[in-house]
Amino acid sequence: MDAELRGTVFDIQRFSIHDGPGIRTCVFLKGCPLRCAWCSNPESQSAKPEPMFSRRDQAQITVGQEMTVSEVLAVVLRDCGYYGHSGGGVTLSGGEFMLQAAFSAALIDQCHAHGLTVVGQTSGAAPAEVFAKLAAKLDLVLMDIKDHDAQRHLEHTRGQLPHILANAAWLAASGVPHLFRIPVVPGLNDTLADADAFAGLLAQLGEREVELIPFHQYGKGKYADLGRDYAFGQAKSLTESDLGPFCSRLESHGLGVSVS
Amino acid sequence: MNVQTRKPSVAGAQNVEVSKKLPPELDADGQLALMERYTQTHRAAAGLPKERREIACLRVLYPALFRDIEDGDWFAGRLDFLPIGFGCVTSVGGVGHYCVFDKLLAFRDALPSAADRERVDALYGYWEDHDTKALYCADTLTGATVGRFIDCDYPLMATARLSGVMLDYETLLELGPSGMAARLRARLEEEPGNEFLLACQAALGIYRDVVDSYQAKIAKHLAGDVPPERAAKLETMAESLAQIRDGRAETFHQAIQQCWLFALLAGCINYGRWDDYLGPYLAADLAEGRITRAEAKEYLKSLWTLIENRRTTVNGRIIVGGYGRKHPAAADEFAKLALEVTRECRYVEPQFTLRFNKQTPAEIMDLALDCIGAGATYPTLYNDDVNVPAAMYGMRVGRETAEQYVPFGCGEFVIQGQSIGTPNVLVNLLKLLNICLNGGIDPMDGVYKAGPVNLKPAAELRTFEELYDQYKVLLGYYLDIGADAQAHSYEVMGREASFVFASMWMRDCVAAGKAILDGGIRYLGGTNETYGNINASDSLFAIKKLVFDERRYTLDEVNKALLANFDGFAGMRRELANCPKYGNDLDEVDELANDLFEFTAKGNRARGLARGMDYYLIVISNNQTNTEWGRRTSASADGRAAGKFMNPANNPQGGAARSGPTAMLNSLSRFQARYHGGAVQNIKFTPGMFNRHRPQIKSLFQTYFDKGGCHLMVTVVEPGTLEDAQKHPEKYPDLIVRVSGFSAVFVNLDKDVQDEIISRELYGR
Repeated sequence: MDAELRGTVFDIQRFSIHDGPGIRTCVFLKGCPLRCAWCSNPESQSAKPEPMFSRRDQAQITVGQEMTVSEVLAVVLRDCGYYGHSGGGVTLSGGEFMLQAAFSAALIDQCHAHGLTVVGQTSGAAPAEVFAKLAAKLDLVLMDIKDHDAQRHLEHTRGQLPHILANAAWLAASGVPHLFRIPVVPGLNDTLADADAFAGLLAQLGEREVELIPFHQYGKGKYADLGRDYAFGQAKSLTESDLGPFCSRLESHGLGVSVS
Repeated sequence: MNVQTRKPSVAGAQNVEVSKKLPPELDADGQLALMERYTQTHRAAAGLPKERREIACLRVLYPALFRDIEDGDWFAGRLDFLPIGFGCVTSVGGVGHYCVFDKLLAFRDALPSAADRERVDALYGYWEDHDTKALYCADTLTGATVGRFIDCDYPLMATARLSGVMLDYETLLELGPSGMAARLRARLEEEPGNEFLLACQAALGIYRDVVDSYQAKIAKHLAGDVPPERAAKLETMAESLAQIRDGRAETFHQAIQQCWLFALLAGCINYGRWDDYLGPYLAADLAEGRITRAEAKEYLKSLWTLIENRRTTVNGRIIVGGYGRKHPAAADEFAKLALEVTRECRYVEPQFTLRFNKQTPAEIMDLALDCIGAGATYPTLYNDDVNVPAAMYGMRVGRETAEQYVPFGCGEFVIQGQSIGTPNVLVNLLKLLNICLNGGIDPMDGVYKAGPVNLKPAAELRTFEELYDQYKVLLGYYLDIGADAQAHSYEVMGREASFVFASMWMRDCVAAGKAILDGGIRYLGGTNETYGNINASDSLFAIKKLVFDERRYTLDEVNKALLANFDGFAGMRRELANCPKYGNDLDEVDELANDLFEFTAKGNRARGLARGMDYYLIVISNNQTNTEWGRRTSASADGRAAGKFMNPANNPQGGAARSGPTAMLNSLSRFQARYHGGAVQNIKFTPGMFNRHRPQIKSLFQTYFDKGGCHLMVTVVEPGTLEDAQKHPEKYPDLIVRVSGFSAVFVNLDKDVQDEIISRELYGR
């Protein structure tokens, strides 16, 4: 039974308002093929449950737990009224939710069966057929493009940009509602030359809109809690106004730009 | 203090008083002389009917205690109160003929002359035997079970007060004094010699004396050197007073002036639906060009200032919106103006309240959210679509009557002009649970507090049901003595006073020829404030899970850990604290909370009805008593340490709600409103969340209200601000927070009350 498929979930965040329209419940699946050096959810990277210190409980806890589709759905369904009122629904995020393809597909189907819209947040780092199959099921795909330079992308994320861009091209042409998003990271991809290059890339995809995600330090403490090093510990969080010139440059290329 | 008090139980703080009172206008000599005159009058009138005695005493107080008009005032009417006097509520003195003993002692100790201090001692001695509340306490308080409000060593506190009297201003404005005088004459022809009706006639005379005294004050000001702007205000006041001395109000200004003076004389500190009463006067004045909207706004600002200056902390209710208004369009004009004034004034009072429903104009809802978003904490929101049907059931009234429900104080309901619902009993459900676990002995002080209830020790309770049943028996006993205490408060207050000014302007008293507590009021209700509800149900849940389901510990071990305040039991404490908690939308936990709620609510209601009250409901209200009572409540099985604050009102314990606002609101909306007479629900957001994501916030609220949410009070504050204000209070003189049943300037609160507010989840951080 699809409803009994098990996935590894590291958080279910209710009243998410930054991950798609309206009020949503965001289901974070554990495991990601990328290792972005600035990642704000380092506990999402490993596919397995792992120990982590909880500041709130002042104790060691296990982050990540196996849940069935119906268990996740039971949480999701508790906020149906809020979704209906606000035009919200469910968001699948991660990690990279596409790594748990069968579980994700079943969860999307179950949500649809209950009349809920499903947004997917993806890095695009998934096999092409998996990507296409899952993306096609979604009501909205929010896809990150983390860099425009393949070598740099590999260095900072350990991911293959050409492969990701191939998925992006599929998405752009698919007719599936979507929005590309750029995490703007200081010292990494935040120059005006970067903006030009991103604009060129988006033009190739035929995109008119893009969303920027300013780098933040909300994940900093988690590295310590996991006992890991964090390369961006000293980097400064970006504000919407810091991104002003970057935005303007993108806009000068005819793109509509929003900031998350 | 070196007075030998014969009845020490009567002294001590008697109400929640955060806002600092303004000192009286009379100097100490004047105050002492007036208190002596009052006392002599009371003593001399001992043989007279209570109505005549009351009038004689009121003549001592009024107009003497009415203060002068201040520069900014648009209306006459500032009223002092002294440690001895007459009133309805403890926020401005006391109930009936009262003495506030601790304030009298403070007054005494500040007197330089020994002779004067002796004069005070004599007064003190007299009032120990005559203060209404002292008389009530002498009958009601017990050594171990029932304490004075506020004495947090007891599981139950009882008090005498006539809170939440909201006058029938509709009748007041319709009749005016002369119309009332005519009605009284007609009634006296039917019932010659009716003392109550005669007292009402005399009260109208006192009202006229007050008006005349203000005319004299105004004349004196105008005779001096006053700037033109101030002279204009005084002249407007004089004209209005001339009209309303005997006649009906004809303008907005006159209507406010008349309502205000009678509210003061009646001892009312909650005002009610002034949008519907005053809206038509506002609309007419605007339509006919008598005043501009800007002038009307100045009037309201002045009224708001007069209300604020009374410093009644948890009161000062002005209510706008909702079903059952006769003049909704005009009332909405008033409401809009009032929202603007509230936002600009940033006062902690009036406790500005919006009743809304599906028909409330979007513009008003948006203005309300803007006002909240600007950090005013107001309006506090009441959902009519839930509360009107709930009041019909709870108060046992028809729809038309229920539509006149008004919250007062910290959130309990009455029917404006038609009912009394004063909360004269408070019960601590958590303290009782700890007593129940410990064989009747309160671990906080080692005193046995279970009365005649036979309690098994923890070691002998074999099942959860046995424990829960035993707890319910103890709770039932306390609901019994609480209902007795409530009923008796009406007997004592009714025996001592008629509350003539309040009775005169309640809808049925004149027709009945009886004062409020003599059978004149249509609905004699009452409320019992419950505290520690959620700590109690979370504790029960943790015990059920760890002791009876999982067999991790025995109940006796848990009790021992609680007695030790978890010293040496850190592991158990962590497990207890980590058990699922109310506020996270978890069925099992919320169902137990609801079961305890319904047991308490229904049991309370049945006991009140059995004692002849028209309704008697629990209120899950809150002021800061959750914190104060927490100080004297031992460690609990939800992981809470001894002395720590308890959960605020109907909300989870700080730190327990970890699943976001939808989950918390789902838990909150689970309790059916029909079983309570008001339940306070708090939520706290950052401005970033509340203002930048307004559409989602609106959806959040609307969904919660659709699900049966009865009420919401919202604080909007930047993360870190409250913490910083604790460290640097001087930087935050006007930072207002919603404590629960009231708003307060944050820096005026006690440290642990501040801590409790900080502990609540801040959404959008």
